[in-house]
Amino acid sequence: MADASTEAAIVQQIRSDYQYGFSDAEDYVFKSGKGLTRELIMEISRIKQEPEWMLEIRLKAFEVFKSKPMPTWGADLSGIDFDDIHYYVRPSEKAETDWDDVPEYIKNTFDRLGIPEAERKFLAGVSAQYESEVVYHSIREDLEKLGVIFLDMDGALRQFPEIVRQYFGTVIPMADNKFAALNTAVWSGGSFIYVPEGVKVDIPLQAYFRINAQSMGQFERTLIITAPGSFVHYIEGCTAPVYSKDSLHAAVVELIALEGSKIRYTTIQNWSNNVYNLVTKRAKAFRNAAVEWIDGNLGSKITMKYPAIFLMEEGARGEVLSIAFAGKGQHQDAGAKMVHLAPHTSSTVLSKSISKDGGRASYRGLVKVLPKAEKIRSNVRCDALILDPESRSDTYPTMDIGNQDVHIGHEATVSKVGDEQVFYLMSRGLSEDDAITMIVNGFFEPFTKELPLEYAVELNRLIKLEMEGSVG
Amino acid sequence: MTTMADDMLNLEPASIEALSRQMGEPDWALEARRRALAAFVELPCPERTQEAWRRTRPDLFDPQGRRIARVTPAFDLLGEGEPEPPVGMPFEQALSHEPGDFQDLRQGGPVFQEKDSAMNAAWRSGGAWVGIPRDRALGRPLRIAHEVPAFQAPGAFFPHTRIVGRRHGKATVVESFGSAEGDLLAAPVVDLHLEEGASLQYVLVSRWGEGTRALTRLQARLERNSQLKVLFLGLGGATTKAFLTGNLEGEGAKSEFLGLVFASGGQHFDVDTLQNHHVPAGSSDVLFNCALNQASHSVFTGNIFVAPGAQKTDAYQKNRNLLLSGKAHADSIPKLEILANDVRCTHGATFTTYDQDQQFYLQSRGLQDADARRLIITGFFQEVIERLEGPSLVAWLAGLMQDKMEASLGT
Amino acid sequence: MSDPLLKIENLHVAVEGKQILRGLNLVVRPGEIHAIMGPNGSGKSTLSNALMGHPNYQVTDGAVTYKGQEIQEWPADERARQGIFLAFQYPTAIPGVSLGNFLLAAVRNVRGAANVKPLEFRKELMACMKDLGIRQDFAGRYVNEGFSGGEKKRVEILQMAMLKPSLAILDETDSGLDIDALRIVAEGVNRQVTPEMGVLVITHYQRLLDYIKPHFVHVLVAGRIVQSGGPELALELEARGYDELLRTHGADAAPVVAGA
Repeated sequence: MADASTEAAIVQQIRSDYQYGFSDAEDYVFKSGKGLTRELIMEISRIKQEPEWMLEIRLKAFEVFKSKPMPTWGADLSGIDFDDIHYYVRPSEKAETDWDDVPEYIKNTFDRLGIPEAERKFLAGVSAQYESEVVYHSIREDLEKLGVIFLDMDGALRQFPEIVRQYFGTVIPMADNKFAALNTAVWSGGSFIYVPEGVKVDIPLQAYFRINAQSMGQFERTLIITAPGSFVHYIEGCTAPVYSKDSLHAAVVELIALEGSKIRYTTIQNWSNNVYNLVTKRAKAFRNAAVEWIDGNLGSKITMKYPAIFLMEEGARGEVLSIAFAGKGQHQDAGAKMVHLAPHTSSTVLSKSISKDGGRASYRGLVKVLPKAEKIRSNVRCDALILDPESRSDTYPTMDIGNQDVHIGHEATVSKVGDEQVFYLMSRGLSEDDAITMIVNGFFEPFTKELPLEYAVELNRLIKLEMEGSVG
Repeated sequence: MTTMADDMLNLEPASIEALSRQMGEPDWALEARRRALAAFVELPCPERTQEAWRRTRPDLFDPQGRRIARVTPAFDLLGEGEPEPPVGMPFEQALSHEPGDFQDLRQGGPVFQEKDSAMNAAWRSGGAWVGIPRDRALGRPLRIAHEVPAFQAPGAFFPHTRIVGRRHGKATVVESFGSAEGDLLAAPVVDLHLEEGASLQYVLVSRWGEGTRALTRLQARLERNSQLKVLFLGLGGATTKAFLTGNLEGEGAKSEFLGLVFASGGQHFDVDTLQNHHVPAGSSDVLFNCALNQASHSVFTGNIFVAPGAQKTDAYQKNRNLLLSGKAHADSIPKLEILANDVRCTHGATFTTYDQDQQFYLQSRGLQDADARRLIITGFFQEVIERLEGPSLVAWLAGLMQDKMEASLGT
Repeated sequence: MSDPLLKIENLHVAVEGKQILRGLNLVVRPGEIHAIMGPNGSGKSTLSNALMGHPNYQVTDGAVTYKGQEIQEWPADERARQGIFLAFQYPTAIPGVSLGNFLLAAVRNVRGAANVKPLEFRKELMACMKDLGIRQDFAGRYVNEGFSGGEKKRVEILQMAMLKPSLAILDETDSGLDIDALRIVAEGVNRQVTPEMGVLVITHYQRLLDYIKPHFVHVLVAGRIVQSGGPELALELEARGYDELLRTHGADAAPVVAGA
C-alpha cells in the first residue's frame, strides 16, 4: 500500500503536467453510493421522472450487462472495479439556459476551460455536462426558430418522448457489448439533436463533458438525427481531474443520417490519465447520406473506441479520420468499422497514431461487405510513428468481403520519425525537439486541418505539450 | 507405398507402439510419440472463439475413429542436368541415419503448444528429411511427393518433414502433397532450420483430393544471415487450415513468405502467416495472392511481430484477393505488432475483381472475354511465382496453376 | 588577405564505416566562390553533408574551422544559426508542414524570435518568392511534398534567401533543372551573394558555372582534391572528362604518398 503522502505527491506531479487536472469541492444535489444495483437504477429513473418504458429498458439492460463477460480481446480492462464507481452524481437540479444561473463553482470550472468564451466566438449552441447531468444548455435563436432541436438527452426525453422512443437503441442495441449495456442501464445526460429537413446548421454545435468527482462513472447518451437534406457539425470535448483512483467513461452515441443528409461528429478527447474511456459510437447512413467521424484521442488511461458507420442504402458514404497519441501508461485502442449493407456505398478511413514513453497505440478496424452489396469502394490507411524503443504500435484490421464487384484497399505503415526529415529541419536552424514536434504536427495535419481553427490551434498546443522533452 | 492401419485411431498407447514398430524406429522415437500422445490428451481443444479458429471449425480436424495411412514419399529432381548427390530420405529412416538432426526428439522434446502438433507427432505416418550439405549449392530442385492412394475412409495421414540447411548450404526443395478421393484428415508438419548463411527455397504444393481436410503447420528457424523463401501453393482439398511461421533468430536473416491460393467450388482456405522478428536487422517480405472462383472462401491472416530491441527491422506484407465470382468470399486480417521504433513495417491488402481497364485493353487487341480473363488471372499468379529462382521450378509451378485454372474455369 | 571563413584541413569522413573523404583541404575566404567538381562517387555530397553536420557522416580525422571556430561538435541547427546553409541535392519532403510555417520557424531560430515580425516576414517571403518565380500558393503547400525537381531546387534557394547565410553550400543545385529553371535559380543565387559571403558550388557539370562564376575550381577525386585552378579548369574538365584523373587519382590508382 502506497504511503498517502507519496501518493498525493504523485497525483500532484501528474496534475502539474495535465492542465485540466484541477478539481472542485463537491456540493451535489445527489450522489449515489458506490456500486450498481437495481434499486439505484430505479432511483435514477425516479429522480429523472422518466416514462415507464425507459425504466423497463434500463432494467433489462442491467441484466444484459451482468450476463456479459468482460471483453478480453482488446486493451487490459482488469483494473476496472464495477463496485468501486459512483454511477450517478447530480450536481444541480436542472440544465440552465442562462449562464448566470449555473452554480458558481461549475461556472468557474467551465470558465477555466474556456467554454462560454468559445460559444460567444464561434458556436451555434453549447451543452455542458458536469458529472451525470447537463448543467447548461443554449442554442442560437435563429436555429431554434428553424426547428433545430438541441437539448440534453434527459430534456429531450421529457419534451419529445415519441422521437426518442422511436430511435433510442436502434443503432446500438443494448446487447451490442458490455459497456453499451451498462450505458443503457444507467445513462444520464448527453445530447439530443434533431435537424429538420433541408436545414443546414452552418456553424458547429458543441458539447463539453467534465468529470469532477473521484471514482466517477460518466455515462452520457447522445442521439443525433438529421432529416433529409440537412447538415450538422457536432463537436465534443472531454476532460477530468487527476485522481489516484480511476474513473470510467462509457458513452453511447447513435447517429442517424436520413436520405441526403450529412453529419460530421468531431471529438477531441483529452481525459486525464486515470480515465477508462470505453465508448460505443455508431451511425446509420441512409440513401446518399454521409457521416464523418473526426476522432481525436489524446488523453485517458485506456481508450477503446471504434466509431462505426453502417451504410444502409445506396449512395451512402462514410469517413473516419482519427488520431491517437499514446504517452506514458496509456493504451489507445481505437479504430473504425465500416459495414457496407447496400450497393454503391463507399468508405474511407485515415488513422494516424503516435506512441511515446512506453505508450501503446493500436488500430483495430473492420471493413465488411455483405453479399448483396456490389460496386463498393473502401480505402483504409493507417500510419503510425513510434518515438522511442519502449513504445509499441499495433494494427489489427479485419476485412470481410462477400461481394466480387468491389475495390477495397488497406495500407498500414509503422516507422520512426525520419532521420532525414529531422536533419533537414535542423539544417534550417530548428532544434531537434522543435524539428520532431514540427514533423509530428505535420503527421497529424490531415486531421488538424479538418478542425475549426480554434480547435486546430488548441490541438497543436496540446501536442507540443505532450512532445516536450521528447529528445533525451 | 501405402499401408493402412488395422485399427481405428484411438488414444491407447498400443496404437502408437504398433505404428512405431511398423516404421522401424529407434526406441527413443517411440518415447517421443508417447510424450506427444500425453500432450495431445492433455492439451485443450481449440475453440471457435480463439482468433485463429474464428473462420474454420477446429472440430473438423479430430483424428479419432480414423484409420492411419502410412505413406513413403518419392524423391526426384526437377529440370535437367547432372544428378545431384542424394540429400533426402523418408523421415523414419533419417531417425536412425541422421540422429544428430533429431536432438529435440531424443532429449525429451519438443514442448507442444498446439494440440494438432502433438497429434502429428504421436501418430506420425510419413514425411521426409533433407540435409543440405555445408558450403554446397545444389543446382537442381529436389522434389518430394507424398501421395495417399486409394484408402479406406475415413483416413488420416500425418507426415512430418524436416529440412536442415547447414552453414552456407543452398538448395531448393519442393514438397507436393496429394490424396485419392474420400474423407481424409491430413495434417502435415514441416520444420525448416537454416544455420548461419544457409539459403533455402521451399515450395509446399497442397493439392489434396476433394475429400481431404488439411491442417498444415510450417515452422522455420533462421539463424544469422540465412535466407529463406517459402511458397505455399493452395490448390486442392476441401478445407485447409495452415499456419506458416518464420522465426528470425539471427541478425541479418531474411525471410520471404509467398502464397498462392486458387480456390474453386466450395473450397475453403484459411492461412495464417507470422513473421517473428526476435533480433535486430532482420527483413521479412510476405506476398499472398488469393484467387477465388465459385462459392469458395479464403482467409488470410498475416502478422508481423517485432520484439523489443529488434531494431532496424524491415518488414513488408501484402495480400491481394482476386474475386472471380459473385458467390466467393474473402477475408483478410493483416496485422502488425511492433515493439521497437527504428523499424520500417508495412502491410497492405486489396480486394478486386477483374480489372475492367485491363480487360478492355486486352479485348481491344482482339482477345475474347474468356481469354482476357485467363490472362489477367495468369498475371496475378505470375507475380508470385516469378519471385522464385530456377526456370524449371517456375515452369512447373506455372503449369500447376494453369491446370487448376482450366479445371475451374472450364473450356 | 582576409581571415578564412571556412578552413578544411585533412578532412576524413566515413559513412557507415566506409571511408569516403580521405584528407581534403580547402580554404574559403569571404567574397569567394569556389566550385568543387568531380565524378560520381568522388565524395561531393559527403562533403556537403559533413559540413552541415549530418549525424550519419563521421569525421574520422582532420578539422573544419568556421569563422575561426572548430565546429565538429555543433549539431546541424547550431551550424544553421551560425550562418551555414546547405542547398540539398535531394530535399526531403515533410508532409503536413506548410512551407510558410516551416520558414517562419526557421527564420525565427536563425535571426532570433524577437527580430521577426510575422507581417514583415510575410512581406519578405512574398518578395523572395516573386524573385524566384515561385507562386504564392506554395507558402501553403507542404514542404517539398509533390514538388517537381525544379520546384524543389527553387525552394532551396528561397530558403537561402530568407536565412541569409554567411556560407552557402550548393549541392548539385543544377541537377534535374531545365535550362530556364537553371537560369532562374542561378540568378537567384547571384542576387544573394555579398562581399562578406562565401559560396561552395558542388557540381558534376560545368554548365551551372556559366551562370555562377567561380573564382576557384577544385577537382575532387576519390575523397581528395587532386587539382585546383581558376575558372578555366572547369572548361578544361568539360572537354577532357574525368577519366584521366580517375586513372591517376581514383581509389584503384596507386596510393598517393602523404604530403605529395
